[in-house]
Parts: sequence; C-alpha cells; structure tokens
Amino acid sequence: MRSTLRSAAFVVALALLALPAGAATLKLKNGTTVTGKVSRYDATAKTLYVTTDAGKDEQYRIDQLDARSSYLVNASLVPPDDAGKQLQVANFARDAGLYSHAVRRYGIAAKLDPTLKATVDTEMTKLKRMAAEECMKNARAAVAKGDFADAEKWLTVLIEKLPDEPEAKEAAAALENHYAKTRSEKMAAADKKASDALKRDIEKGKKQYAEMVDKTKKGLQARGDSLAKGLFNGALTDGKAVMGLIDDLEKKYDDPQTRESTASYRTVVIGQMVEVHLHMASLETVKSDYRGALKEVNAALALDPKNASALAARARIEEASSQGWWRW
Amino acid sequence: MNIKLLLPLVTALLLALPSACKSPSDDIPCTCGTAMTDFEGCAHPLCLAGKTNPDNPNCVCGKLEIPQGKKN
Repeated sequence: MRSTLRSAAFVVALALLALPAGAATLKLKNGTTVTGKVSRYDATAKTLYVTTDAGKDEQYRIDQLDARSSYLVNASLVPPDDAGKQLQVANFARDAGLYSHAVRRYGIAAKLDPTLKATVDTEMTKLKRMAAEECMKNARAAVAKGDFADAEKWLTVLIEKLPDEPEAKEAAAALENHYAKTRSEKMAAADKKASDALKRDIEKGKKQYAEMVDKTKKGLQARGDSLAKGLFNGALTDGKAVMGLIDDLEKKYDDPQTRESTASYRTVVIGQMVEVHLHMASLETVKSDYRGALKEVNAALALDPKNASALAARARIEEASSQGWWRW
Repeated sequence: MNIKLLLPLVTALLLALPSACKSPSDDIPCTCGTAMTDFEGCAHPLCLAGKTNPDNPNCVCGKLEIPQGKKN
C-alpha cells in the first residue's frame, strides 16, 4: 500500500514538474512566436538567450522582437525602485503604443522620485498627443468599416480620457452622427417582438428613452464636469421612469410572450442606464475620486451584475485606489 | 485507502492540472493585445497584480524570469 502511495506521489510530482514554470512567449517582428525559458540577457549585445520549448537554444537581439515583447524584456530588466529607469521604460511603453502601461509607470516614477514630476508631466503631454491621434485614427477606421459601435468606443475614450486634446472636440461632434441612431436601432429590435397593444402602451416610455439617449450624448459632448453630471443624472431619471413603466406593463400583461417582449425593452433601457453610470464613473476617476467612481460602477452592477464593462471598470478602479496608481 | 480508490483520485488530479494553470477568474477576461486594452489597461486579476497571464500570449503585464547575466 505504501509503495502505491509513493508511486502516486511520484506521478503527481512529475506532472507538476512538467508545468511550464517561468515559460515566456516572445513575438518577433517577422510574426514568429517563440515559447521557452529565458536563460540570460546580454546587455552589451542587447541579446536575449532563450531555451525553446522544443529544447533548442536560441538568441534574439532586442531589435528582432516586436514592440510588445521588447517592452516586456525592458520592463523585466528594470529595478522596481529605480525611478529614472521606470521613466525610461514608461517612455518605451508609450512609444510602443502601450499607453496604459506607460501611464502606470509614469505614476510609479513620480511616486519614487517626486523631483521627476515635471519631467513626467512633459512626457505625459507627449503621450496624450500620441494617444489622441491614435484614437481618432482608430475611430475613423471603424467608421470606414461601418462599425459604428467600435467607432463610438474610440470617440468616448477621446472625450473621457483626453478631453483637452483638439481631437476630443472633433470626437464630441462626431457622436452626433451615429449615437442616437445605434440606440434607436436597439429599441426597434425590441419593437419587433412586441404586440400592437404593448407597442401602444410603451410609446411614452420610448419617448423617455429617446430623451435619456439625447441627455447621455449631450453629457458626453458637454464641456465641464458639472454640466455633464447634470445631464447624466437627468438621463438616469428618464431611465428610472421608463423602468417604472415597464414594471407596470409586466403587471398588466401576464402572458409569457408579452413578458418576453417587456424583458427586451428592459434590457435596452438597462444597457443605456449602465452606460450612463459608467460615464459618470469615468468623470470621477479622472478626478481621482475613486470612492465616487466605485459608487457609480456598483450602481451599474446593481442593474446588470454580469456586465463585462462594469466588472472590468470596478477591478481597475479598486486597483488604482489601493495602489495609488495614476489613471487617465 | 486501497488502490481502487487511489487511482481515480490520481487521475482526477492529473486531469485537473491543466485547468489549475489557467487564470483564477473567468468573470473578467484578459484582453491584453487588443487596441482598446492598450489604452484602458487590462482588468484581469493577474494583469492588475502585475503578473503575466499564461493563457494569453499577448499579455505583457508581468516580467520575464531572467536568471543570469542580468545587466541594465
């Protein structure tokens, strides 16, 4: 019996040893992916020595790696408490288009050495310029493909994270083109499932929904936090009124088909209300009011507990709050 | 404990190993490598903890283990 147990333990130990501990995935500029363990780095030759999963010893110069992998190597070599080097890696991340990594490392550099604050501010100004240009480029590419939902995401990033860049004004104006249309399409899809009687009863709610959408759009376009907040709060009031109407209609109609139709309307309205709460959370995050931001995100999750954007926002805010990292 | 009990236990453990290597949370996916995440940052628990997500080859949130010849 003991020998059986020993054999079983040996099998388990072997299986654990077979796990790819410390395995790294690197991408080369030519599109090749290399998986293996890094054995050493030669700083003079700027070369990384890797034992691949196939057991081959390979070496790659940093300039052979793609921007992401190159950043990963640089970030791995930097001492966590060296403010100057953190700043250099932040610049590298920014130039590689890894803006969130860059912002976090600028924050770390400034925290480690407050005398670097002015330098960090200068580099952040460059980052915002580059990021704004890239956001607008992505938004235009999405519009060209007819993907207005994706375009809207980029325009919203511009408005919320880079409000002082010239592209933000352009983004606010561009929302005029598709924002209301994409949402009325959602409502039209819900309409298709509804009976004529339900359509008549929901008419007032649809008007309020349209007002909610308009206020959300204007909130995004508003210059100034208090104006935006007022519009977003107005949008939420409209949303609550529509939800109240849907509650009443669910009491009026108890047949499963109509219940299903009212549920479709409810989903559309909840989607918009969640969006509004997340815009408000973004306003608070920019001001580093993490408690206020969490309140808004939690309100969004109360409406839709599995909403992926809200769950991700909550995780980011909690982390930023606990680490004192910069958000943007 | 006899061998009839032990074998299924070991089998179950071995079958569970691959999933044990996976990320701890399925609620928030790792979106590293997408253009939007490069702007917003990834909300996956491993990424927020400054670790690389082994399930996503595009994840650069952690560090490489570079055991020797580490120079700056």
